[in-house]
Amino acid sequence: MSNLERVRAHVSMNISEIYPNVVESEGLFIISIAPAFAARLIETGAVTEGLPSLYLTVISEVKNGIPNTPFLYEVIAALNLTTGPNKLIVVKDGDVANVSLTSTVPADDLQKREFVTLFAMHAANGETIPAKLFEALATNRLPG
Amino acid sequence: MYLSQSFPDKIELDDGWLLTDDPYATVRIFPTGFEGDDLPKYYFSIEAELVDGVKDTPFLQKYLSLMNSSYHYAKITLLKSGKNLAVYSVVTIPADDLQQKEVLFALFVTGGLIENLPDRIRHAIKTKSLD
Repeated sequence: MSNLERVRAHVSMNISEIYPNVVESEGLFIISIAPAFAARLIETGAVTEGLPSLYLTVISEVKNGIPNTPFLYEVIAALNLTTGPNKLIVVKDGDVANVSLTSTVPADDLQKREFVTLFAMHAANGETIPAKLFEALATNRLPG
Repeated sequence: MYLSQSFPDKIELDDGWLLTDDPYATVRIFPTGFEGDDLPKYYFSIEAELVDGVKDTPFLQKYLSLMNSSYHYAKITLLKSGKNLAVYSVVTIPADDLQQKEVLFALFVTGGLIENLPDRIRHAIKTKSLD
């Protein structure tokens, strides 16, 4: 069994305990389709022994179809200063942009409590950070 | 203790340590603000300056946003530096039961970004190219 297969099986078991309805498809652990909420394993690129070879990234949809303006990128940059290990990312989609929230941790030997912490932290930030984004976009003012 | 092995000359700051002056790199420990039992109380964060003296332009914001989509574990952010801005890498992890290997990996990632990103960022700003 390769390291990827071993970590994938471990991640699958632990996510299933938190989200029993999780579906695995094409490398994604899909927790919800609408709103989009998923996790996936990504190679870290590290080859040194003792360093993790895989990341686990949790990604959730914040809002799709936001007008793709310079102000949006300014707001995202300002918010990313305050989001700890979480990160807002923007994906351009024609004239609009889709914003997601991601949380990434080294995944090679994640403990059960670390899975719980990762998803709890993502959920907690998933309430507060989008609220700040929507307020900034509605008032046209950068978050303080 | 974990940092002392890699940075024996680190200098203590109010909320962390200065690891090196050039490039400017610091470690901070700060409260998460969370109260739940499953949530961490403290974050451990390594911030490192990548490029100083950049102008705040729509291109820069867009470029950094694009980079943040690519660099999973690290965040690329802007901080004020005099009249201009500085581009920083930030790696943040929950700190309540930090292990040595987690600190080493955060330092490893930061080191890789310091080595690889400054020239790339300067080139992108100069050519206004998102490649």
